[in-house]
Amino acid sequence: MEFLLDYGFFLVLLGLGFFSGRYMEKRHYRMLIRREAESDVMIFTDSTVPPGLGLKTQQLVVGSAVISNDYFKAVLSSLRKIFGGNIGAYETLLDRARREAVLRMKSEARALDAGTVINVKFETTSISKGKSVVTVEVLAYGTAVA
Amino acid sequence: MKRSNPIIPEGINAEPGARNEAAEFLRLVLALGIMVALAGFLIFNAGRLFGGLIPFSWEQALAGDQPDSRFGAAGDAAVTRRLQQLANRLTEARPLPQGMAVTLHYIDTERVNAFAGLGGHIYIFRGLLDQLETENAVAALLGHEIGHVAERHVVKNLSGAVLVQIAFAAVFGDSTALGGLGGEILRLEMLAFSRGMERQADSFALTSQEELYGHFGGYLELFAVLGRADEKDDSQAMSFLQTHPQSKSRAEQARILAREKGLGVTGDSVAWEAPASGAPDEE
Repeated sequence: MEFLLDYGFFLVLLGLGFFSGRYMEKRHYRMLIRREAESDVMIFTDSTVPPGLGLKTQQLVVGSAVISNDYFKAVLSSLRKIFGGNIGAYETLLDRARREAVLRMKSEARALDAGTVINVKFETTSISKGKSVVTVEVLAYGTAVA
Repeated sequence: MKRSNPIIPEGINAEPGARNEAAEFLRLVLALGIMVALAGFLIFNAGRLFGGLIPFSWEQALAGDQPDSRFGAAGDAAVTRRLQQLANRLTEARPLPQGMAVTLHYIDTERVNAFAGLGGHIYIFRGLLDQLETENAVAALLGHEIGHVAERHVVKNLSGAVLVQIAFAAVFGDSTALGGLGGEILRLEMLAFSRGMERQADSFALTSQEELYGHFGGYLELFAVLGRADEKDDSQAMSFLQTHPQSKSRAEQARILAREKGLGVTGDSVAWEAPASGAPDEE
């Protein structure tokens, strides 16, 4: 009974984090793949306009995504930090956040009738500030040209 | 020709997968468990080693002269004096190391327990004392607790535990989940040490019984009483989780030792009667 009282809450959070976190992540990746395939906006990191595209308008476009890890991944990351090595939990977090931010930036560009975004850059910020469950914001921004 | 960015294959920057993560989690927990058990064993042992080097006078200074009031109100002073006199007889029969002394405290609560604290303070609770019928059994109880004092078990355990806590705080920081997991593993290790210490204290008690009475009857009476208390308490069911080995196994160990030494398990006993308040001290 004492064991349940001491660790039951932790185990419930762990289980909840594992199953709901996996489900949310799978669902998000399915959506990302579908939207990336459907998107017709091109992005370039170079600041020059690719030849042949023309230039009528330029407009700053921004995509921002804030994503958090689940409790299971937070505990897994804490364990990994003791022994060192690749923290896969954070890699998927950043991958999802980055791709989501790019898609939102592309959506802004499409709303402006721009088919191209140049000079694309990224900014990543940790919002959780030392807490075990990590939350990151990824900002993708560039110049939409039409 | 319509241009487009190429579709990047999945799994380059990140590999999502529930099975991988679950396997990694189990591997890391196992590795952590082994590391904590090993490190805890070494650190706790080191703490115990250094704890034994602390002079008894420092332990007495830390504990102070007065009993710890958290355990309950002091009981009848006449009983306390009687217990102290019996303890003095035991330490005459089997002397403590130089500079050490024990101070008895009788606590007026129904708790069925007795234990040794820092600085030679020994606490006997009314709930246990009322169930012992002979002086022999009381002497066995006191002998056991005096054994803990003589072997410096309290300060050794405290040193080991403090050192382990410092080490855990340094490694795990404020991660309460990991700290709790590691602490649970260590508690099981510390229980093993505690049981070793209990056997040492039992050995001291048996030697005292042999010196004073020439048989182990009092010791067996004590563990018959504790055995009845064990049976009533369901939480004591799994012996390997207890700080004390089960009373039945300790009584059996005493019978084996009695046979080895050629001593009896029964013999003349002196009745233990609680003195009336204000009764004159015995000679």
